[in-house]
Amino acid sequence: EHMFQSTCRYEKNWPICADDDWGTKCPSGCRMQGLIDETDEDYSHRTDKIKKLLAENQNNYKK
Amino acid sequence: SSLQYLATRENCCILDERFGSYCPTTCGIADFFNKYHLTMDNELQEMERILQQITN
Repeated sequence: EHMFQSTCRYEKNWPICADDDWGTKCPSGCRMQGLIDETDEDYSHRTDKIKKLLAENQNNYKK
Repeated sequence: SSLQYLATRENCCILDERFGSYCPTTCGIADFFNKYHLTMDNELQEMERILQQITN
C-alpha cells in the first residue's frame, strides 16, 4: 500500500495548467461525475425543503 | 438516445471513423455544468429567500 501511494504522488507531479490548456486538457470523467452527483444531491435536498415549506405554509394559511 | 449528436463529414472536420463514436470532452461537460450550476443556484437562493420572507 505504501508503494502504491508513493507512485501515485510521483505521477501527479504535473506542471500547473495554463488558461490555453482548457479544451485540450480536461478533467477526469470520474471527477466530473462526482461533482455532478454531489450538486444533484444538494439541489434535491434544497428543492425538497422548498416543497415542504410551501406545503406547510399553505396549510397554515388555510386555517 | 434520440438526442444523440452524430458526427458527419459536414459537422466534424476531424472525423475519423476508425476512432469510434464522438462524445463531448469533459471540458465541455464542465463548462455546461458551471453554467447550469450558476443559474440553478441563483434560482434556488431566490426561492429560499422569498420563502423565508413568507415564513417570517
